[in-house]
Amino acid sequence: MSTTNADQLLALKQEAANAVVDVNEPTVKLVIFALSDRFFAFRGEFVKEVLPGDERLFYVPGMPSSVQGVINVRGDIESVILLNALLHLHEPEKVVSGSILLAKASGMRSGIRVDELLDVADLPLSQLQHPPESLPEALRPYVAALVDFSGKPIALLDIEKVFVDYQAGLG
Amino acid sequence: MITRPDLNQLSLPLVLIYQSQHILALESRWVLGCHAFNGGQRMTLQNAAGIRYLHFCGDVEFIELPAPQLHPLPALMFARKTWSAVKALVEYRGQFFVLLDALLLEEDLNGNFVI
Repeated sequence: MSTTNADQLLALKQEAANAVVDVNEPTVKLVIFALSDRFFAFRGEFVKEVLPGDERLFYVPGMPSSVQGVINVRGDIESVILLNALLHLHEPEKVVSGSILLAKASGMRSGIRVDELLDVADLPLSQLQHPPESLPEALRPYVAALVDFSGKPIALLDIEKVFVDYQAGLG
Repeated sequence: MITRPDLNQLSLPLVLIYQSQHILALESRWVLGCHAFNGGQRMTLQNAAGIRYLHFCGDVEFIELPAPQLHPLPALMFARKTWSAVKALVEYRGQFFVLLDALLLEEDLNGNFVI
């Protein structure tokens, strides 16, 4: 065990105390996920449920390829869509079941398939940063903020804008 | 006072078309008959435009679908459908498939319906 002096010890304790998160700071709940080698999040208030990706899916003809089909969630029939085309992300080379985020926004609801659910976390609002200019053009309309989570840059998506544009025929 | 009918007491007569891997449903009120034709089936339908024929390979089945097993298309799917005849979803024997609107089926050059 190494020795120290009281001043150093008190200074260290003061640093540690300053590092404690202010519990009164407003936080935002984020549902963080991976999609096509990138990391995204939705605000938790818009994600009603996270379903396993291997839910039985029923193909429905007469739909664009971004509509995977429908699932039966305790008697409610929900669509399952892919956001790869809307966000200009490459299509998955192999079938990844991942997870299905059941989202509701702007009067619409749908399942959204993601490659992997990473976390559901409460983060201080102050950690949200404006999206940088360097963000790919296709993502700009949909990224409301950037946040660092465990060293990963997470793009917080505006789910309302996503649904409105998807309904309008984009993606 | 207006009393709503009990959905559990209602049913919808449907004709199911088993076409390769898919099942498609039509309301039976538009179907006049179906018989073997050229190695397949020829269904005779009547809609606002008159009598039309629908040719397909596969079986047909007549069912009375309990009303709770007819589901509207989820809103996003309704907005994005590329086949205008897709009208609703049918839940039957643990599967889901589409109910087609016979008034919106496309016609080929001979005036026959195509699916």
